[in-house]
Amino acid sequence: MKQIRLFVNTEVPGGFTTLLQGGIFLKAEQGETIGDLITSLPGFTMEYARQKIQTIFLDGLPADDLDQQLWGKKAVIAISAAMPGLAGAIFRKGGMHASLRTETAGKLSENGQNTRPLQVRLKLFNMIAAERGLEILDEGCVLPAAALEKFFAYRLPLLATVHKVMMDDNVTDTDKLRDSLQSDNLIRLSIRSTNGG
Amino acid sequence: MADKIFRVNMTDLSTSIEDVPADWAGHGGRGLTSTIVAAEVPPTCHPLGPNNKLIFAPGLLSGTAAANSGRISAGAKSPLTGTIKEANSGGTSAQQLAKLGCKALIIEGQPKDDDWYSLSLTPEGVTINKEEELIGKGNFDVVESVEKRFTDKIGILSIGQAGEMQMSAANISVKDPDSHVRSLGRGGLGAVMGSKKIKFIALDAQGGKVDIADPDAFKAANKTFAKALVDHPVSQALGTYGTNVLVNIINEAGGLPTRNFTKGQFEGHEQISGETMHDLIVERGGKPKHACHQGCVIQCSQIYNDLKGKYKTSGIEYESIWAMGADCTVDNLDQIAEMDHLLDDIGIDTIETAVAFGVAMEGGVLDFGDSNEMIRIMKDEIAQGTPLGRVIGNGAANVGRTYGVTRVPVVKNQAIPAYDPRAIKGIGITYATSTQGADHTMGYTIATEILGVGGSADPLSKEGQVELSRNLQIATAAIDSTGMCLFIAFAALDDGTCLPALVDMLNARFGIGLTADDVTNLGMSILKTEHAFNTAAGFTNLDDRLPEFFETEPIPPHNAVWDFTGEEIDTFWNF
Repeated sequence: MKQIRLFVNTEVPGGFTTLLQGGIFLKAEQGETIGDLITSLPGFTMEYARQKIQTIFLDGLPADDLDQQLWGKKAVIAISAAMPGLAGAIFRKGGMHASLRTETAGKLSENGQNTRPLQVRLKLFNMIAAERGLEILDEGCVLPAAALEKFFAYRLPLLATVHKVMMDDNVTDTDKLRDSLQSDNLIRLSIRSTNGG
Repeated sequence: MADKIFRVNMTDLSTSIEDVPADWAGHGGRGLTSTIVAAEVPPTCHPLGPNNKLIFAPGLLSGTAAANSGRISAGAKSPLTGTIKEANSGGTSAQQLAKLGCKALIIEGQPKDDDWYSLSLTPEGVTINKEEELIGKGNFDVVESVEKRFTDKIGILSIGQAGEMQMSAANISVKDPDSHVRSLGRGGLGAVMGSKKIKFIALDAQGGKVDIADPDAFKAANKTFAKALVDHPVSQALGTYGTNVLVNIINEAGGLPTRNFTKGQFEGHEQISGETMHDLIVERGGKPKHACHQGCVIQCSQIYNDLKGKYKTSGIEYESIWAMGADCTVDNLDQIAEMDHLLDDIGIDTIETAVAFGVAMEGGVLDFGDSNEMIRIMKDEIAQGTPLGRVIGNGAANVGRTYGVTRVPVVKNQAIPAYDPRAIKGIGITYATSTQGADHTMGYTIATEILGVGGSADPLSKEGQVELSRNLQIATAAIDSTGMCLFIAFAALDDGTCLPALVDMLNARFGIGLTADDVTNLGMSILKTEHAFNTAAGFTNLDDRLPEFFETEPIPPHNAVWDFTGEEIDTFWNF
């Protein structure tokens, strides 16, 4: 997996946290809970997760429980802070309007056939990405190369704040970086804020 | 100063100021507009004829220092739906009307000639003036010119070209504190104003104030109320991302109607999400947090600048972004902002018009995703009143009929907004049973147990789901009468001090002793009044249905269909 490290001007790294709305890829052990997976990320405590994560989606369906166990080969999880509107209330974790949902995520079943870790795509929405995204980006996260290219394509001012690019420990420039991102291969990305000088 | 009814007759160009009838005294906002329409408008009248009336009313707490109390309501028989209609908006007009001592402004009749007029309200009364200069102009020109004629402190209600041409999707614009516009958006009330030949209404309270019966109690209750709003986590999200924070999560749920309601997820959702919009606004020197009316403590509005950092639009909502974005498969926020600005200027509902574009795309009029052609049609066809412009400007159902499209997402002729009812069934019940056509704001998230309308049926049964939707609509009707922004609902859901503080403010404002039960009864009364009007206008239970395609076309990715029977929906009115 290609390792990409971006060094950006101190004032701007917050804008990069929006990259996390597309999701980062994690490995989860069979039977690991959503809560345990999330709290393995930098900056996430169980208290923060219980208080701030008010909306959870598992494979596109609203879920109510951080203790939901993960089984199988793949899962997509989306987490968000409190959401507005009747729809926001309907999807809210354990909310009183949950009865107005079409469907709620059921418990995943353990079939015993999968022993290898499952691949989880974790999307961070709303205030969650803004509040915890910098730490995730600083430590590094895994995402598709094309997702970073797509992000830069409509966020060119952010690209201009990148003053140093390291690709697999080699210094390169942003043009070569973008050329290398034209695939769905996963990359490991870290973004660190430093002074450009 | 006792509140009065200001009445304008456009047939004989007369005005009067009347005492408030006792039956209307306890009403404000939607409660008052619907009560007056029900009392004075023949249900079977033509919405654009002389017998329809256009009512404006501030809320019960408008003009006070109450947080988030700056909503104005407008009501009439709708030319889009044929039902009773209320639309409400922020801006500065609610406070101006309340400070003028105007409980409601009733506009009736219709000029017999082709002359256009404006109205001017001051503490001395109403004057009617002939208008020539601004006819044919968009709302932004109107606001700029009218401020020059009067002062920039006044409130302005105006229509653009769509209202002049009486298009069924025309809205009424409301000047905001920055001299931009908000909208009384849905149901074609701008066409009713156009049918009365009124281009704009200037509101100048000249420093008037609203009387408070118990100022100390009012101040204390408002402090509690405002704290509950500010402290709530949803307020934080709204103040950062606006309502557009919903794009990502509704897309995740498979409930983001895409490509004229054929899919529940939009590939370009990240480009139009609230998170992306926030970043673009900050990068370009706009304001991600902005109040649409004085006293708003949530500030979910925003100022969106173009690539050069110049003002483009403000207060762009999730539902508008969805309609111009996912439903038409446009994934460019700058194009969406341009369209939002144009539609505000023309004075036409962004939801109805964009959904009409989606139907037109399915009908082959233009390609999905062709935002340049959408912009051209807005400028060259809708604003100019060409045949195509009028077809689209008269709404999604009209486009479907014209081009033979059967997948037309409307209820009672009004476009379904932003939340696919197959993926989020609770909202589908609201769309079906609303007295005003499909409208996501009719049944909001309110602390039903605090208002004593929590329901008794199993909440997971269809009976229970219908009951909960009914109770949400009852509570929403009551809130709509106060002049409060619906976004107080989130705090009202979670903070036990919020709704009691609202009731305390009402009591302190008027020196009365309302209870939560009274508020609930008010909501029930409003819904029944509106339903009775619609019944007298010829609507039946068979109009409380979603379009057939929701039952027969599963929506990806979850492939859900709408599965409520007519009989189940009809239990909504059993109260």
